[in-house]
Amino acid sequence: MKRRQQGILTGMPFMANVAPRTFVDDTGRKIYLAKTPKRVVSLAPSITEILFAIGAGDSVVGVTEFCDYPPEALTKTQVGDSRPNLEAILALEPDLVLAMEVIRDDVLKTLQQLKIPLFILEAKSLEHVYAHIRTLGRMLDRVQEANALAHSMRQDIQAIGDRTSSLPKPRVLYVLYSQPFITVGPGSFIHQLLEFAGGDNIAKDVGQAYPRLSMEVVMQKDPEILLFPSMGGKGSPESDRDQWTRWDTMTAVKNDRLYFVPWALISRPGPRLVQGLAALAKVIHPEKFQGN
Amino acid sequence: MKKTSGQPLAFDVRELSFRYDLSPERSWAFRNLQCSIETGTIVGVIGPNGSGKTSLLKLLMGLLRPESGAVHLFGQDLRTLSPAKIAQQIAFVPQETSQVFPFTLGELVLMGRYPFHQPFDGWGWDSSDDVNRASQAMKDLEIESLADRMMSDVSGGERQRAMIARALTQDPQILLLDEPTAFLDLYHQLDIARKLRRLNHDRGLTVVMVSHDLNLASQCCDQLLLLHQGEIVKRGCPHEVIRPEILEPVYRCEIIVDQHPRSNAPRVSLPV
Amino acid sequence: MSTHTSNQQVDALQLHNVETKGGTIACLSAIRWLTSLSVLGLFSVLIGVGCLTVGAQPISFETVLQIVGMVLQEGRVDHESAGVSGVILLQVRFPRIVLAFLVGGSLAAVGVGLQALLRNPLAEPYVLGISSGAAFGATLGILFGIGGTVMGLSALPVWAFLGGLLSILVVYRISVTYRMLSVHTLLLAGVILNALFSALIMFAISIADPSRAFKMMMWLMGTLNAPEYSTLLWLGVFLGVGVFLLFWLARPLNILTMGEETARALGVEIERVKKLIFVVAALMTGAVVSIAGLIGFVGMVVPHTVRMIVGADHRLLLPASTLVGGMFLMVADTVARTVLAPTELPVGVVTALVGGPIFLYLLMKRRAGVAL
Repeated sequence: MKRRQQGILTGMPFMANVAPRTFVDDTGRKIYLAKTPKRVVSLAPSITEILFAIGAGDSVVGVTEFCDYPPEALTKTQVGDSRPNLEAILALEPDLVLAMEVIRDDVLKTLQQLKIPLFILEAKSLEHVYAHIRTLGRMLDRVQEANALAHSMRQDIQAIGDRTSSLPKPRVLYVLYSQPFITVGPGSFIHQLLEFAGGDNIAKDVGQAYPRLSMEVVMQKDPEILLFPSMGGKGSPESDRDQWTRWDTMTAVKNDRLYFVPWALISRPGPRLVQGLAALAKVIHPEKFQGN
Repeated sequence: MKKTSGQPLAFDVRELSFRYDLSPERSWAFRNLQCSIETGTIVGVIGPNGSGKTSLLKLLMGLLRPESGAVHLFGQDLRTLSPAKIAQQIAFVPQETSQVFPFTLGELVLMGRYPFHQPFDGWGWDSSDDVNRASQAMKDLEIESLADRMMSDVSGGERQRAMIARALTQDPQILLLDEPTAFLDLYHQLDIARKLRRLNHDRGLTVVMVSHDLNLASQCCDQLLLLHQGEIVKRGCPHEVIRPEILEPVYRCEIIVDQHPRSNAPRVSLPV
Repeated sequence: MSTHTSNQQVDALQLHNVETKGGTIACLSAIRWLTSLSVLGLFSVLIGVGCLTVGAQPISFETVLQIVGMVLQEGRVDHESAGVSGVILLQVRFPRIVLAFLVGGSLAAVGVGLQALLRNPLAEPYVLGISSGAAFGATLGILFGIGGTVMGLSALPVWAFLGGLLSILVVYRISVTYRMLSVHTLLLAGVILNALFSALIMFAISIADPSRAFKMMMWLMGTLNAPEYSTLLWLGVFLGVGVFLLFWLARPLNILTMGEETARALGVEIERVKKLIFVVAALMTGAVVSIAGLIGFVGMVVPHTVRMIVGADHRLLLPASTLVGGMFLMVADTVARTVLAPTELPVGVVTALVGGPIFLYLLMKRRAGVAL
């Protein structure tokens, strides 16, 4: 999948106009868009944010219940939650449906049967996110805005990374859930953010993106900072931060470095990842990012 | 027959009314039933199917509760007695049992001692006295060699003898039996009948027995209760009850009654 | 006929078989009981210690001994000298092993009790509908995002337990009429509640956002997070009382399996016994599910298997099953937390994968026709 993406994303704008309007998504699915889509349904908050950020907000006709940013998104028709309502989608007569890979099978099949173009995105890394922005820009005839956004995102992220690269990296543990205990590892873009923010993710040697890590290994690695996704908003998970204070031999607990980070800014593979990264950097390296 | 006058009645049933279903439309199994059974007698309960024989036994035992009226056991109202107290005095041999778990026959017979391990001995070990009684009972019923077998592994007759052995292990004063010889071969039918008479004679054991086998009842029992649709149609000694004019309307068929060649007890046969 | 001797005191040195004029009855004697349980108890300790030496983080046997010695000598552990291994052993591994033992033992004991109550060797703790009630409580807790702690316990188990309690009340109310507990109705009520709560759980999963839905599904698969010692204490006392009550009912349970009528005829207070078993089993199941999620197989396979080996007498079957259940879950949990190190498997997966084949093997070994 990655190789096909590379083919599309050589970053040469004129190719979009010359080449046939065929796009390949992250699952290998090919779609052909005869015209620029004017009725787009977004089935993920991150996609919605990207669409608005590249100026294609007017083309958006349908969003999910969790699409709360930007505020204009709230005015759009909601087609349901994480498992979208097929009828609501069809009622909007979309000419393009964008989804993340968790889409339901029956939704998938029906959309295919009705020949509605469906494009599925998988965000396994930051590179994927930049690529998505660019692809969406080409699809919706917002190439300049998209490229600019992707470029500035990459630069901002790299800038923060540069500032932290020379700093000593504290050991970090990101607690996705407490019960059961699940964290992030390579394969998750959150892991990349942690690294860019100047942290040393103690799960970096585990082969899974969202591993159930053994508590013994955590104690052995002795993280210096514990990060918890924060409460608030419909889509954010709960934290059990208070439960972790019992591990009083852990450096993070001894120094009281248990922080909340805004879930929406970190978990959505979209333009606001930069802000999420900034928030992470602020708690991991407060001395470097004061008032930034 | 041992007459034990002066002793309280084994059972005194007064104005007993009972039905299975408590909803108003259901008919009564028994209505204002009156009957008494003297201590030390062997009583046979006979009658056609559906007449309530087994229900009567269960009511005597307290396994079923009457809607009105009472059963008095040795002068005490059954309702005032705990199940354990009742079980210490009465042993019940059901018609058949099923077994879901792999208890051995020996363990089953030993369960007969449970009523005597109250109230704190929910745990308790079986004392040597318990085991002796159980062993003796099994020996008397000639099933001691089956002590380690499962119920499902033995024949119907052996199962029934195990149930009787358990009842004897309870060392009761009253024995209630529901069709005790139904699955037994001739040898064991005779054996059981003789044992019951001997127990009654030697120890004054009161026996109430439901039986389809009119001849057995006639030979064993001192008294017979003829039940028909929940009523005691006739009560008396076998000679009084086993007569064609009494039995035929109840059983609704022709019955021939003559005399047993040895005991002179009335003998029933059918004109096929 | 034998003379009517009074009930003699229990002779603790009773021999296995009693000879009486040529007949013998094999029954449970104190010696056999003591021997069997001592052996099982010893095994439990050995396995527990064995599990202590195995984990995601390799800790040498000498270190384990060292730290154990330290604890035994001084009563507590000096964090600096014990180091990380000490913390791992004492804060992570040991409490978790103890929890596994408590949970496994309780599930097995409840399984035995329910199999007797329902006169069905296939019964197990989840048949009453309590577990799905507790699971639903937990699901609601995750859905509404309740965090924080309640009395040192995180709120989620509390929600789960409340769900379980609700289930208990409903099932009890349905099954008891005229102060009599109908076992038949109990079973049906349990089935219906399971179906109802399962549907509600699936509904909750479907309307939750993906991360919460994922969390719900993970919780349902069963997990033994290392508990705090205070939690262990509470749980231990609660479950211990329950198990003790079940043990106390061992003899009536024996007789109850013959049928309610027979049991009553032998002097068992069946209504009291039935209700007590139900309440104890339900509360224990609720507590276990609240802490550990749904861990299957232990409650059915362990009683079955142990019964095949030691017989149906509950005086031995109950404590033996409890110990074996505890051992089984200790081992299963050790596998769950080690085999994919540094990540972990849900323990419910391991119990099924380990328990299933063992049970099949035993089934095939026994000759056909033996009542299980």
